[in-house]
Amino acid sequence: MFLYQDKVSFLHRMHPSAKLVGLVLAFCHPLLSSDPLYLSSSLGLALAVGALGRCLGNYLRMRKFLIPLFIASVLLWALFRRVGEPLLMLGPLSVSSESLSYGLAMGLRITSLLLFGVAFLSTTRIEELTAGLEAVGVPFKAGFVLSLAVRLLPTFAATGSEIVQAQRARGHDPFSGGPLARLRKAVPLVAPILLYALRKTDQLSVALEARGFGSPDRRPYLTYRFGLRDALALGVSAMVLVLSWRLRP
Amino acid sequence: MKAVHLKGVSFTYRGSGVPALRCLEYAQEVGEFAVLGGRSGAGKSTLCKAIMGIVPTLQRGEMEGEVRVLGRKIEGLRPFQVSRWAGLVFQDFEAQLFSTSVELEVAFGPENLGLSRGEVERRIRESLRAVGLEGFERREPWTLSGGEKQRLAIASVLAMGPPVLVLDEPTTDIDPLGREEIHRVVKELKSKGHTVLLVEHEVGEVEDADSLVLMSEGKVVWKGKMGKADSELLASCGVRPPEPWALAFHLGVPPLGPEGMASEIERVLGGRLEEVRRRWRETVDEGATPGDVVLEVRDVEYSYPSSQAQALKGVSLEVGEGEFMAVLGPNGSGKSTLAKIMAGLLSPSSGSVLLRGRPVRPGKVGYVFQNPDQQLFAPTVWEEVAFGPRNMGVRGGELEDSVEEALEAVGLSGYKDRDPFSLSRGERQRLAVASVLACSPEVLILDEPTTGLDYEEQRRMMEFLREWNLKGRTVVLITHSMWVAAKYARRCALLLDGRIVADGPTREIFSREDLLSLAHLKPPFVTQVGARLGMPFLSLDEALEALRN
Repeated sequence: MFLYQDKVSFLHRMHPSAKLVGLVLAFCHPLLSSDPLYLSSSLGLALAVGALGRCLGNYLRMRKFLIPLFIASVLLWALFRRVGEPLLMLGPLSVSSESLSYGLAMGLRITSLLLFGVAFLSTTRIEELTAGLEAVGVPFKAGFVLSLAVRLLPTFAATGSEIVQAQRARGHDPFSGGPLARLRKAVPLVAPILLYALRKTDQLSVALEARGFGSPDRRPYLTYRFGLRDALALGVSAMVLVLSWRLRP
Repeated sequence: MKAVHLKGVSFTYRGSGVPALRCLEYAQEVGEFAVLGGRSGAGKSTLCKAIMGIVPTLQRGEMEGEVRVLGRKIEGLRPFQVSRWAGLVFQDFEAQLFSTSVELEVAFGPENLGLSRGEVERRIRESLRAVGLEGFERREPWTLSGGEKQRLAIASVLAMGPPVLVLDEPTTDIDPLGREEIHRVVKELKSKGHTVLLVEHEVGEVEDADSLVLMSEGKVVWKGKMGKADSELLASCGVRPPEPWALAFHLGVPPLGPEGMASEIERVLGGRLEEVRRRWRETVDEGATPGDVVLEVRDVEYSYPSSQAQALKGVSLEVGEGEFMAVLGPNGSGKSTLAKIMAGLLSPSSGSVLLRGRPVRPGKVGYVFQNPDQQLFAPTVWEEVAFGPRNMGVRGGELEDSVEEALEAVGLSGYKDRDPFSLSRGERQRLAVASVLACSPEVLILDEPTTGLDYEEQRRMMEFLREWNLKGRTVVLITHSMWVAAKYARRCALLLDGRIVADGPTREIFSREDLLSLAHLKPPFVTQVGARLGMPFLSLDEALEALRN
């Protein structure tokens, strides 16, 4: 569920705010052009960033999800985007060299975007994300609540699957019938999970305050200094982005 | 100056007509270690929350009286202000851990106190050492066992340095070994000068506390030295009398360990021991031999998709018609996984599960989950129970009959039109059982059905299961409550690290302390005493019956 890997790397050591800004810059790169060759360079950059964060292993772990996504986006765009001379007709659908090239581009774009995200999450703790958000001006409480939501997701997912099992044990079959029947069948699943989420967040808010949350004296334990490494990383990222923008096809 | 002092405190939660605390008087000295017991709904948790200022500040309601912690009035303070003097550890450890590493979890409290980094580091070190979690700093909290999580929760409160520590049923969801570790940690806190208030159902497990406090209906009804409360008083407050105290009281001897108690009984009985043993053997009922095999587990292996480790490593098991069987084992041994596979809710990675010779399907084997709130959703009790049989196509008069029958079996006949969520935890648990019974399962599997219930509710639940079993129905119980298994199950299977390491009649399994200790389990006190006398008793009643003369 969580991608974070407790390692030492260039990216791990970066200031979380610098990483956030870097992520935004990285996201811009694959959006500048729809040329497959250009977008291959985005993918190359994503791999380089992965090496810098020692998280190529996580990239590999995501292949079961990324490869089908890549294939699906290539196929969908290639089949449904009507441009150029059809090379191949499949009933009402057609594939042209333009639509194929566009499909390839979209597949590369979504893959590089996701890989940049994976690199960020693999090298940044949720607490660092909160600290990073705080440093760029997001109030601590808001950032904290956001990170809490991320943290609670696996717990909710686990409870959700328990609830599905509990209802199946009583002969409930939530995944059959038409859309309306399915909607009705969701009630026995949704009601307990909503109540669970409400109770859980209520208990958590009490537990948080019992541990001093909300105190104006708070002093963060994790502190970061914006260093040479961060300046260098952001400088290089910005330069690459500007160059790519100027040289893009 | 008292560490904790409540004077005439009454509190009614907003929206509830019934007061949770009624003119409560309570005082605890600095450095005192008190254990608080009482039935569900007696107001124990509300007392804990009042000390922290959680009621009425965060959870609103009508409050009267005065709460003081170390001489300071709590009124008008927010819990984060109180947290410098008093810390609260909750029952549900999942709801109090939220960080991505043990170190950051513990750092959270001290951060909020505004301490320097050096000081926070020192406190992390010290509080992790106090709970025996040194070396865990970089671990992710959700990879810890239940007992470790709860000790982490204690450390994270401890790191704030509160002189007063309140623990609200910290051991409820935890196996016997984990409980022992938590109790040891709590005792050490007392020796370091902390004032400790521990809410605990099994008061006998913390015999070395300074005092025992009993609550009933929103009041403290008794406070005195541990061991001075007699069985009747404890039972009247819904607390299970610790077996060593009860045995000592009934036999007129001082409370001793199993060895001491056995030799004391041997001394008192003298030459009559052989006679007692002979008569005990005659009366012991080992139960009817089970009928044909209903449910068969064959070489089942299972791995969760998210994990490399195997949860079950080749389990085979046959359940006979009319059996009352318990599956025992520590947290993480694979008990729940096995039970879900037996109910057809999970498919084994290899091997098979057969119900009367055919592959099991969900709904044919009844499965009651540990937490009833994970299945209740209907607006009324009747609708909740009707949900299962309706899914199976039962309609009309037949539906009404099966609902009525199921409700009657669990003693909830008068509750038909009630909202399930207005019921007590024990009632909700029984409702969950009824909702499964109504599907007329061939085998009933229950996962920890007594967890979170007080002694009376536990007994009611188990007595009902016994009655149902006596009608020839098959029951499989997943539990780590040893007295429950000893008293009610006829057969026990011991699961350890995904394998069945022992399987046999309860008395046989429970006489083997060496075997149980492998699985971090210990037989009940009376069984330990009895085994030394050649009569491994399975319950206090049985022991008293045999030794009455």
